[in-house]
This record gives sequence, C-alpha cells and structure tokens, in this order.
Amino acid sequence: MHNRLRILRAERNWSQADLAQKLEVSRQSVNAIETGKYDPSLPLAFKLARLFDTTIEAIFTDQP
Amino acid sequence: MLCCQPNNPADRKFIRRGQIITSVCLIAYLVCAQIIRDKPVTPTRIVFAALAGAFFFALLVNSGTLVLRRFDEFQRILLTRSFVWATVITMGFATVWGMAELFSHDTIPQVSLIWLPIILVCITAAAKVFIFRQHKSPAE
Repeated sequence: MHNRLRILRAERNWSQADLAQKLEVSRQSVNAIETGKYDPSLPLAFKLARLFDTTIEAIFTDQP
Repeated sequence: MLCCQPNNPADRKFIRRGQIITSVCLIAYLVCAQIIRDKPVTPTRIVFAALAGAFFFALLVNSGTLVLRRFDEFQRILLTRSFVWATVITMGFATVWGMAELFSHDTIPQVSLIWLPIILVCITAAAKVFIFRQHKSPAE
C-alpha cells in the first residue's frame, strides 16, 4: 500500500507530531503509516481523509 | 506495568492497578514461602497458595486488557506482537524442557510451573523493548 500522507502533510506545513495530535495517535503511528510499515484501520483512514478534506483513495493507493 | 509508557491517564490507571496486583501477589507468595511452607497441609495454606497463583492470573489479565483498550492501533499491534512472541517462546521452552525432564530420569533439574508466568512476563517486557525499538520513529 502506498500513500501521499507525507506530501499532504508537507502542503499544510504540519509536523508528524502535529498530525499525530490531530488524529489522537502517537507520532510513532504517523511515522509507520507514512513509511508504509503499517496500513491504518478503516476508521483511522476515514479520519485522515476527513482531516485532509479528501477521499481515502486520494491518500492511499495499491499501486505506486 | 510491564509494557507501556505512562503518557496518558488510562495507562497510568492500569500501571497503578498492576502495581497493586503485583504487591498483593508478592505478599501472598512470601506468606506461602516463608510462613506456612513447613506447616501441615491445611485449607488456609491451600487458599494462600491459590491466592498467589490467582493474582498472577489477574496480572496477566490486566496486561491483556491494557493491550485491548489501547487507543493507538499501531502501538496496540506492537504490544500484541510482544505478547505473541513471549507466549510462543515461553510455551516452546516449557514444552522442550518438560519433554527433556520426562525422559531424563531426573538428570535435568525440575522447573516448577510457578516460573512460567514469571518467565512470560520477563520475555514480554524484553520483547516489548526489542519490538518498540525496531519501530522507533526517527526525529523529524
């Protein structure tokens, strides 16, 4: 699974810690998702989509 | 308790509960080991011995609840991984040692079952440190 989280975060000038705080998760989780080590659950993916005001498909893709 | 950073109230509550359980368990164990050990078998002695065991069970249940209730799903997965590895290693050790004991005609020292939860807790703590270090996020 690939994602655009790092790009979306950079566009808003948010640090990993900022995003983690908004999502109410640890920075470790944000880092793991960004680096592709961990695929988030659907509720967290929806939360991310809402936060970035976009769709889940716009953040996560199964192709690079 | 054995595998969490006290960074939120829920974790702190579990750690406090774990400390109380561990203390009661330790007291029950000391009573069993030192005060009633050489006395004849009585219901009181059996109750104290069972109490020590029951509190170890409570300690494990408390740790399991901590994992299940943890809000951060990635950390929950890491904690679950620690528990799984610790269970596999402990059960593996118990099986191998037990079989060796069974066929060694007392040449291998007998390990009491009471050590299994202690070994499980220690290996879980070690696995947690190892697994969390593997997934440590670099500084931004």
